[in-house]
Amino acid sequence: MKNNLKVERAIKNITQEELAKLIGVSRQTINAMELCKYVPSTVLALKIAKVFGKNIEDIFTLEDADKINI
Amino acid sequence: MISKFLLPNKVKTVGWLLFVPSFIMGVLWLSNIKFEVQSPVLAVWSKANEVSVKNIHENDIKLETTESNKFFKVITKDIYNDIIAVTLLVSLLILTFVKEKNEDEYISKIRLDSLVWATQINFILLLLTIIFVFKDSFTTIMIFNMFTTLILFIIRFNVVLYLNRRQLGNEK
Repeated sequence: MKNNLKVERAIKNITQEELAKLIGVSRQTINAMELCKYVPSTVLALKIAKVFGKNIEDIFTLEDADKINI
Repeated sequence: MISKFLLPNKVKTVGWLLFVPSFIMGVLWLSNIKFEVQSPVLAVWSKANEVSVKNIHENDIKLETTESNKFFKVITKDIYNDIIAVTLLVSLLILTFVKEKNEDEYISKIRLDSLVWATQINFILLLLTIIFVFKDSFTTIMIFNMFTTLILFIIRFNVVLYLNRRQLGNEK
């Protein structure tokens, strides 16, 4: 799974620390998500989408490796 | 998603305060610096071989081994090594199951990964020990093995957390 957390953060002009405080996690978690080292839980993803006022799909997208056959 | 079975972060200091002296005592014990602490203890099960000398005839001495099996009996024994093992295990359990200051779902994941990793490494080492190590050396390694799962976990978990924290310095 990919995400454009860093871009969204730049648009909103907030630091990792500020985003971490807003959604109640550690800065390490934000950093790990931005580096695609960690896939957040649905709850956390929803919280992030709420902070940026967007839909989850605008922030998190599936990669080729995650694609499903529909 | 945060585990309910974690101790509050404050207890971590207690864990280290207990670990350091018991670890030193353990190392000294391994290098044969031991103290004797005789104490009565309740033995739920205590099995031992007792060797007795039997005089059959005047010059004919025979050693006889009898197995004594005791259940729920108070016996007196040196408990120094038991003290070390208990304090070491309690301190390691505290350090393993204490919450981080900023415990969240990512740290829970690192915790779980580290526990899986430590268990795998521990049992691979145990298998190799069973296959390649024998007699008294085997017993020595089994003594280490009582603590290695927890020690491996604590090392792996804290190294990963440290590397993550160090990486934060490069980002803003």
